[in-house]
Amino acid sequence: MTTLTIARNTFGEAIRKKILLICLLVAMAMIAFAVSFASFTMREELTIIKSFGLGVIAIAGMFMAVILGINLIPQEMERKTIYTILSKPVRRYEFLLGKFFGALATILVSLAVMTVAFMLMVFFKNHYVVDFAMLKGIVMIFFQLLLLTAVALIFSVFTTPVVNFFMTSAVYIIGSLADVTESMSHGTDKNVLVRGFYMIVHYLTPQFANFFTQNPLIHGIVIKNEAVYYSWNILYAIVYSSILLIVAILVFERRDM
Amino acid sequence: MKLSTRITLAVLAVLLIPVVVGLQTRIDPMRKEFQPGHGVSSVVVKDMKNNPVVLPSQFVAGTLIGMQEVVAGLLWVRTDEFFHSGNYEAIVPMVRMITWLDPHQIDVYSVGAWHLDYNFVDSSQRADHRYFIPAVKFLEEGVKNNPDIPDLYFDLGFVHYFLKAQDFKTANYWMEKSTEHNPALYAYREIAHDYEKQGDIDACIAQWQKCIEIGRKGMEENPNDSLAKNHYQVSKRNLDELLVRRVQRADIGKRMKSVDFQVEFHKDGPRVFEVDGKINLPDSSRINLTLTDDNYKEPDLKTFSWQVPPDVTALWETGIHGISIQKGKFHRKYDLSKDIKQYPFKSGKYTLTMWFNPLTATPDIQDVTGWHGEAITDPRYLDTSTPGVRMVKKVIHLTQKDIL
Repeated sequence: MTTLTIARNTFGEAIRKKILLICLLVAMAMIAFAVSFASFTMREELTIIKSFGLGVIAIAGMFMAVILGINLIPQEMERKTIYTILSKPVRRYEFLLGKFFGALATILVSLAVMTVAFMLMVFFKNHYVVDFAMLKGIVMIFFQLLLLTAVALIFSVFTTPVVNFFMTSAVYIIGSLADVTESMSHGTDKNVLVRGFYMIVHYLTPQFANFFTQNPLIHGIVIKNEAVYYSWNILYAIVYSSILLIVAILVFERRDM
Repeated sequence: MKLSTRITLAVLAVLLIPVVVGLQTRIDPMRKEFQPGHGVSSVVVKDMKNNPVVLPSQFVAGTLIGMQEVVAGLLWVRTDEFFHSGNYEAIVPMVRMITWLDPHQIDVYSVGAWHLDYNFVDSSQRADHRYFIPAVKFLEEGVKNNPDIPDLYFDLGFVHYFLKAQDFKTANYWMEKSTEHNPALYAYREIAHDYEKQGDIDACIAQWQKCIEIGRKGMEENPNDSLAKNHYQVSKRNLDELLVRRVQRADIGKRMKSVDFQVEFHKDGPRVFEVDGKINLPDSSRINLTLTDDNYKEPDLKTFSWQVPPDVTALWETGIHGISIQKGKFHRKYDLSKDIKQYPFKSGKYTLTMWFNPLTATPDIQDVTGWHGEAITDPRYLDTSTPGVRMVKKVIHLTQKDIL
């Protein structure tokens, strides 16, 4: 119950943040801009609109997750509100989980708004046919952002927002290069130390690339065992985020305040 | 938080790590099945390592967030600018990068292969034959990545094997493959033309009948279908013409005559030479010519490389690029001194081959020669090495000194 109250407050506060609103507005404008953008290319217009739209949603969501995640704890400490809250019968883990779920709710609502704009755009360009397949891509983006928010949260427990921004971005970039890290962790032609290093990186870094399903969705290609693939990925995001939250809770519990 | 709770949580976190690793192990092979870059042959990857295309940072950012299709579209626009500015060398790495980013860009495969096969020309607009195999390989990769798209099968068959290589049997294989994926109606007609070029008239008649049936069905389903109507009419007219031709050419073998093929080679200067000769055939017949290294062998599709060998010489003038006959004579001057890169002449010996093939001749010429050259004979250069076909061919062996 306490967690829910904190989550609600975090959501209410976050949704009024100007930077997030600007981010959302820019994303919406860019989704609309995709129409004129597509006319510059020789490729099928709809392909570009879908790819650009999903890409904009992913990048806007990423910015929101990072901005929210890196400020979750430091902002409370800066304002000293954390001391007031923790002096009440609120456990530290409840506070942390409340902040996390509040941020996640903000991301979810923002994604929903962008999705409506995007789906409308595709609907009009697709001869008034709703392309429900695109929603699978949005679901994948959401779980990617769930993982990213958890990464930002764990760093926010013990670093400043600036340092956190670079650390979270670095983890995101490494995690987006799953193909590279995976191929480097295999093959007999590579040094055993190199392979070992990349194996650790590949299996222990959150693999954001798993959630990039835009290409087959846009081209109407059916992913083999699609339901299984999506289920594994959702489970992966939940389990990985759980690990990160547990570590964040443990670190936060031990922190002097 | 109690110490025991903290320990329990820590143990739980550690226990969840193998779960994450296990999930990732299962996700990896499934992700690779559909992610861009998968299905690109190892030779392409190797070639990209040797000739990397550096993506500008904004494109890298685009690919990192999964906007490969947009990046590929923008690169394609840039490639088009290279086309128009004549910067042909820059196009090949671009099309490879685009199809690596997004292996479902059909027109990039199609136009890229056409570019490789047709646009690398010398100063006299002769295409570089050495790019034929890379073009085919590139399209085969497109087919592998887009197995349900008929256009790529058809392009392979018609644009490359039929028109360029005049390998009608392989062309037929690919065009027939396109019909498994509901192609445009003209694909069925080109198959009929291909059978005629192969000299298989019975199969050609059967194919025209099939075309007529497809057209008829299309018109029944939709009487306003102008494409089906046109397909039906064209097919019917072509079948009628073919049947008339078959009757007219039935006893053409009895009208056999010597074409008296003669060829001469003259060197005018280093890398400048002329070929001329005589042949007793109607105007507009064409003599094919190839001048290659003596040991020249068409690259194997299995072992080919994107790197066109710089030391190989392969001048290739066949089909519509062949030398036209006027009043029983033919002549062409070659000045290859301006194109040393394309024709390096680094080998010690060369083979100049000149031939007339009745199978590739136009119908009016075939009215004289027959489909298979039934009416052709020659005291010196009759060549019957191709089963069922009588053509005339002269092979001249040259040394480097004869050319340089």
